Amino acid sequence: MRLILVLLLSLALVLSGCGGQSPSEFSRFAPEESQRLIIYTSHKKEIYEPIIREFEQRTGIWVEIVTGGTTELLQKIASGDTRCDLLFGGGIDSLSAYSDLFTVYESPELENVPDSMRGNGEWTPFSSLPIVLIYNPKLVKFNPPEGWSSLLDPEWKGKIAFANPTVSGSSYTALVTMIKALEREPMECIAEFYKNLDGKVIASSSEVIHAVAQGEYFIGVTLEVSAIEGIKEGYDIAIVYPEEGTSIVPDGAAIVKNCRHEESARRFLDFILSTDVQSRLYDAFSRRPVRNGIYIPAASGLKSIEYDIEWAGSHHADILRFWAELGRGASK
Amino acid sequence: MRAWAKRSFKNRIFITILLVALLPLFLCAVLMLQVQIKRSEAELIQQANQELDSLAGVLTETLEGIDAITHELATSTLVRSTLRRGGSDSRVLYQFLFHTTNEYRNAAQFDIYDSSGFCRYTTASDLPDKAMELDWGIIYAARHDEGFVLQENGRKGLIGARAIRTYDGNILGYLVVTFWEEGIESLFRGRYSSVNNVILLDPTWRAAYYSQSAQGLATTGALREQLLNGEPLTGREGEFNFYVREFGDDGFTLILQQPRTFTSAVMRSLYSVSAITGLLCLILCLGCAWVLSRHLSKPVDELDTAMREVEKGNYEIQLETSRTDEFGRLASSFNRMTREYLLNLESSVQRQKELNETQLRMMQAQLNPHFLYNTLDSMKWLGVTHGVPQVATLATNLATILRASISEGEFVTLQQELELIERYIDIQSIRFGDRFTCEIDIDDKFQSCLVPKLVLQPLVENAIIHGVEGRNDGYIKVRAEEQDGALLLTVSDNGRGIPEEILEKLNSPDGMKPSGHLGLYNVDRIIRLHYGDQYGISAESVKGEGSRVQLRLPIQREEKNDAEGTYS
Amino acid sequence: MLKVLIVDDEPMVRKGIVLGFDWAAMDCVIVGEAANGEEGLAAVEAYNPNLIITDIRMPNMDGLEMLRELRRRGNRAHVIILTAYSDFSYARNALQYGADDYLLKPFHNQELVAAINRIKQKVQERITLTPQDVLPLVKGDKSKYVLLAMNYIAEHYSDPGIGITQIANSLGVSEGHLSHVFKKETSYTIIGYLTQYRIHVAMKLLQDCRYKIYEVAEMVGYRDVAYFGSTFKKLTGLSPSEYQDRCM
Repeated sequence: MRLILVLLLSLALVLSGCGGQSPSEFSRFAPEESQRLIIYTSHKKEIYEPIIREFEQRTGIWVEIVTGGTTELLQKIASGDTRCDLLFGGGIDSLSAYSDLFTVYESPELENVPDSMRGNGEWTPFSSLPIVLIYNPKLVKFNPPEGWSSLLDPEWKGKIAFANPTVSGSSYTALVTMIKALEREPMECIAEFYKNLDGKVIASSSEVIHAVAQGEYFIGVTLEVSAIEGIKEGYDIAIVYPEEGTSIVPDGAAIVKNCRHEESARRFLDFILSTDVQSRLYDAFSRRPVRNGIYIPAASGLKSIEYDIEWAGSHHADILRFWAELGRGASK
Repeated sequence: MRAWAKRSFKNRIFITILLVALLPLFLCAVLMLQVQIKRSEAELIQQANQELDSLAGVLTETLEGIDAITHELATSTLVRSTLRRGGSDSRVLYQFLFHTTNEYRNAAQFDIYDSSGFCRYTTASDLPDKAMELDWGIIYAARHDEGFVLQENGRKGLIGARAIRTYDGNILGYLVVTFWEEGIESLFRGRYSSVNNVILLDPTWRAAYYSQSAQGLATTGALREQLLNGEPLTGREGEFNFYVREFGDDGFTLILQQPRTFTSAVMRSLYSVSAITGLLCLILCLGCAWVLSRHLSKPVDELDTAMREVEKGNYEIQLETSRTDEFGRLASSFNRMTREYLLNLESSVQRQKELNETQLRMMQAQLNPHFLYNTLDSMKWLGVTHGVPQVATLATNLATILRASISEGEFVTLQQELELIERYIDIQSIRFGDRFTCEIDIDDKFQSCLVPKLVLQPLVENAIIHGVEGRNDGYIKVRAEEQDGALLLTVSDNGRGIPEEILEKLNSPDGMKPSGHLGLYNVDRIIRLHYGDQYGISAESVKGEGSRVQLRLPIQREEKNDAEGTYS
Repeated sequence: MLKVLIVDDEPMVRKGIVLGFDWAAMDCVIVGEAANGEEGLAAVEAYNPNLIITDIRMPNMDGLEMLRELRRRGNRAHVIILTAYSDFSYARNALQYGADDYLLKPFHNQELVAAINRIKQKVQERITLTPQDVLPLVKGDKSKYVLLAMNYIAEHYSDPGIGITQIANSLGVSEGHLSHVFKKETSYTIIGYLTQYRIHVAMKLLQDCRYKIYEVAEMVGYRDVAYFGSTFKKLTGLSPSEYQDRCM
């Protein structure tokens, strides 16, 4: 009697449970592993989307995109995230600081890239980005800042828009550039600069343009690309190329060690170094190409100084720690 | 529950009826539900496939057509020479262009670009002013392809191009076909039901077209992700079925988005309705099963109750029934059986009584009279001739007593019985000498009462043997009195008394048990057999002082006739 | 004077009958004995008795056959049959063949005497009162209580309710003691003596033909006439009416 009941119940359950699509139905539409690529990027959508789209159309590779801040993504990969095949974006100083995460790839396209832009293969350069100063012309009518020294000038105390280097890779690059340009003792210089910020540190680099344009700050430190884009968008800011000279540190991309789709990642790196992409960088994205032979209008006053990537990489942790201490000290 | 079912037939039936009612109901409901769901889903699938067929068909057809047209255009001498010439004013070319693209102009816009990327001719109303990039996008693709290439147009439809080449392969210009959303829409119009949506995806599942463009990106993005992760395609929100169909040679995919009829909301409401109806049915079934089980098991109950009555000893119980089925037969069998049993019981009692009587008679007839009398007679004569008169007395009296005990008839008058007692006493007096006297002091009026034969003798015997034994002044008295319509015969003695346990036995209301004292037992039995249990022996005694043994009989008199005794 | 013939196959029986009775006192004389029916017939021829006392079961010819033969020969002697059979049909047969009476063996001598008396009465001869009729009214050497009891009985015999309890109470002595001593000295039980006394008186009253039987019964203390009658017959051998007839 009990047995019959059990049988009937299970029959009923089976009947009721049937239905619904099984996922394997569509698996035939899914691409094979060789046709996949997962990119973690810190670039803005306006930059990565057309490039990736074109890459997809040309190669038929399905790209999955994960966005985030450079440092954020780096830490993600460092802490064991194994999905990422390629990190697209981030200053090469940041990239080289985490160089043990990445695998070496010397793209054949690198032939067309000047040595100064090249590394040891742990990263591939994408675009070069000079660090510039900006100021609000409405607020700063007469004595615009001229260079790195201006940042230590007490005249500008509390009026400097500077993004947190812990989060912003470009801010960190700026710090290192400043130290080099001013030929100062690093920590001293940083401490002085910190003092001149008067505790006001901007959360992310993207807000610097806005902050200066709005008049919250008089001057700011940012990448040339951001400044140009800002002006294109209509922000009222003016660009100053530091007279001491500035670093033109490229940003780049790197292939994660032991990633699943290394071949596709390589093709992507080749692609971003290709003429088709590099020649569009300035007109479309206001970025300076790294590839030789691409014409871009010259920028007046742009003087480049050498940027010691090694030094930047090895002191990355110390400097950031010091910065954090300064932060704690300032709040006392 | 099993134990509960086992307890009663009623409960068993209840469970059975309940199951019989519920199970088919349940099965039906489930089956119907499933069948319905399956059927509608099947219909939906069929409909979706039909729509996809139609959509894919029209797309494929269109693309093939366009492929042909662009080929025609790209290879036409007219187009080539016009491009070579430059300019954008050839009327002939326009005529040719419009003529060739006649069929498809509602779906797409056809433009001819020169090799620098500027548009020279268009089927649209105005020339697009922006130049096409040569090293990017569709033009790049067209340059690297021999035929017609197709790409998604920045989520705003499709764009295709074919390079127009010289015979040597140099590029003269480009034919660009732009499918705006409206164009695609017009192609699809009427080919799918309005509740559905159509999605066009490029080879890497980037959305080219979405009939409900407002949600386009979110849904297609979700679908793409789900496909890459191997998850079932469910889209972003809402509940839809997605049907995927590849079409054409360019790796493009059509997806039909069909809203599910059996959404979880619908299913929930279905299930809740089913549950409610189920519950109602359950209650109804419980009620019916209860009533039915009670009704059906009623005859069983009645039989059960009747049986228990019988067990308790009530054999007169009868079942009333007017049924003619199995229960009716059971009931009448039961009635028959109990009646028969009752009859058997009564006849058994009757037989036992008869047996007793027969045994009685047998007891009485066991001696061969002649031998006894003749022997006693000889003894008597010997006594007489040898001058021992006591011997004669003993023998003669014994013969008298014997005659009485084996004579016919169970009853004698008290007078006759007393005669016998006197004979008996004569014998005992010879044996015991002067050790006792016995006075028989009975009033005239009792002399004609009928008593069972030899009923007093054991009492007197007891009085002599057990009572006054050992005494020299033993005194036994026999008297009679009337009490409550019964005759009481008392034999009292001044002997040593009756022992306690014997006294108990004598006085026990159910009659004596046969143990020792067979004489008294017989007397008691005979009285009870003849007259019933309210008569019989009783006794009183004081130890060392005396005893009184009493017989209680109903008063019955014989008809007055000639007062001749049978003994003389 | 009755001439009596004894017929029985057992010598002891014959001897017993001959020696066990005071024939002279009964005005009878034994004229002969026979051992069976044949001898009996011969003896009847030889001695011509008035009364034949015979057994039934005898070899060579049984009593019934003998009786049948006697009657066939026209002999009218009275016959008393002795038999062990209590079967009534036998007795009836005997009576059919003209036997006057039959006695069941073993019988009390009294019974034979009573039977002979009945026959004597038929032949209108005087009845002899058997010694048992005579009451030992001799007071002589009886003890005090016995005499008192006898006196009490003599005074109260006509009271129907008289019983041993009253007698003992009136004397102020226990029943048992009285009964014992009375029996010892008179060899009668008290009730037995009372009965004897009553019948004795009744006999006297019946001899005086004035009284009806039921009157006599009442006068001697019997309420039940039938009982009186049967008691009278038991003691005297005759029913009251027979006894009264005799004296008329």
